[in-house]
Amino acid sequence: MMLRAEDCTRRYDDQVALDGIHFAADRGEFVAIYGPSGSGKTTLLNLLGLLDTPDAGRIQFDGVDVGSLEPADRDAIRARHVGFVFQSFRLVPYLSATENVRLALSAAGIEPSEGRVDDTLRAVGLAGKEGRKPAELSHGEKQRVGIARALVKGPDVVLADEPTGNLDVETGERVLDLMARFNDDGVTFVIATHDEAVAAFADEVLTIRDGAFSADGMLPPDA
Amino acid sequence: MYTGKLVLREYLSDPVGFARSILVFAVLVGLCLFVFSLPAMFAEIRVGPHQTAEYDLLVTGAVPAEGVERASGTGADVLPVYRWGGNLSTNGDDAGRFDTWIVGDMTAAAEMTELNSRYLVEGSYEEGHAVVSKDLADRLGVGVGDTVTYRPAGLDEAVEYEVSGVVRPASYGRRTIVLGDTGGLTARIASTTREVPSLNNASTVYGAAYVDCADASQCRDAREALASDLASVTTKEEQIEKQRTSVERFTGSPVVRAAPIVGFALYGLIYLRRALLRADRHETTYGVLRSLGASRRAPIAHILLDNAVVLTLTTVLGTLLAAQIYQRAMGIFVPMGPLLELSGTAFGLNAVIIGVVSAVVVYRHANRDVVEMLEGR
Repeated sequence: MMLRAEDCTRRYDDQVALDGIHFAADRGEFVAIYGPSGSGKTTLLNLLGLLDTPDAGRIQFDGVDVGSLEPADRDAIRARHVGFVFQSFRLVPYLSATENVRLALSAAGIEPSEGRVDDTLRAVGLAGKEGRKPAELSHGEKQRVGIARALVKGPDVVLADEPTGNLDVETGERVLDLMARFNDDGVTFVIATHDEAVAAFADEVLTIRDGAFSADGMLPPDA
Repeated sequence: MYTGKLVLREYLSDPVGFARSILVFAVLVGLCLFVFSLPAMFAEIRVGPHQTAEYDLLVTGAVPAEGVERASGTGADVLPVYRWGGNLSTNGDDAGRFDTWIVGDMTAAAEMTELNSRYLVEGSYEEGHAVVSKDLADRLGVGVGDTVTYRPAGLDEAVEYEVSGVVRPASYGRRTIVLGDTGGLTARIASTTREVPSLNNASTVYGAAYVDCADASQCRDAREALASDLASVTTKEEQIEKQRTSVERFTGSPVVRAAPIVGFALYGLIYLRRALLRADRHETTYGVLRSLGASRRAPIAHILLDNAVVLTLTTVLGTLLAAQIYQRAMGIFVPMGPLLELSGTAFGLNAVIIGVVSAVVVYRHANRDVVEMLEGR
């Protein structure tokens, strides 16, 4: 398994956000973590994306227990192998679409090859809008920039937190189609959503509630 | 490297806002610096070797062969400067009696009066031409290119000069002369002629006043008037001493001592507020950078770089502003030497404040994790 969470628990003060959860995703999978607001979806994504560490349990990436790594090494894994897509896009407002995407490469310390950024923007359907700033783009286009930013470095897995949460149904479907297209190319997608229709796009749906997967969605510890 | 571009792009995205912010802090630095360096600057420039001369008519280059005396007094040959009393007129209109300064060459003129940097408001200094004060030019109705006729006391022939420049009168008022150590004039009356009203209508040549008397009674009255005036005249040494005492009293006062401390403390607090607000505003961006794989150093580099830019710009602008305040408020031109010194002081003090503020912001930032930053918690 490329990405695995074993018996992970995460608490915030006295509140248990994740309660001994197990999760696994392999290359090329499209997994949806489906649950209501506050169920622990984002917390799990943060753990899987190495943005956060569990209070108990462990996260494995390509067989490596990331809990045993130095923060800089975790940063390096995130830089090279993980892409994020946020519900509210999180684009830098004073940078153009191209610059926002290129920022992902710069932050990861990757020297962009000729045309890589433009190719990625073109792939998400933003040809001709490379120079526009976020304020000049529609919500759907902003999310496309967000997806391009996540994909430009060629990650193994993209973690998307409510990627259609700020989009209308039609635009949301287009964004999901886009993700599915890249998934067909071998990129693993893990999306967190509270929308059943969005979850239905995934190959596998795990239902989460109160920090734990429901019986039908929980994976066995030895999966 | 990319954090530098990020900072630059942000500035360029809102140049007006950025300029306004820099300007505000530059003004604060300038004001603080003015107050902070006031004692040193005051002592160095005001009582130092620089001198100020004000006049109604200045003629450069054309030194008549007779009728005037060579400068004498302190050091005699320090400058080929001549002062002349006489009547000035134009187009037949008598403009009254004026003290005239005649200097041997341009360098001496500029050196004596610092005219090039301070007072010339129209035209230029040209060999053999006259430069008149704005006040006199207005009263005579003359400007650059016009001709004025000067009839020196003791000479039968009038001399005509073409006006090549107009100078702005300084705050001392007409006929005021204040000279420093290299002025080349008498040390006896190194004072304003306002203090010697009995000489205002007399022919004066370097401290020697010539009063035309119609009879003995008039001469006696004139002598008595002069004696009365001279008793109250301040000598150059007394004037310097008076200034020095005044400076010491001023600089030693608790208000002046406390003002820069209060000023810089206030500046520090305002700057801290700006830095914290700015860091908060960038929190999500920092979170995004971290989520993209940037190390912890990236946001810190962004914070430090921004502060370094502000430090540099506010230091330069603040220094220039402080120099301008000196010049405007006190009528003192700040030469390059003190300006550089002032700049060094500004940089040092500004660096300490911005350094401390940056450390606070960085420390505060270092205690936040990526999830908190992304969620803006």
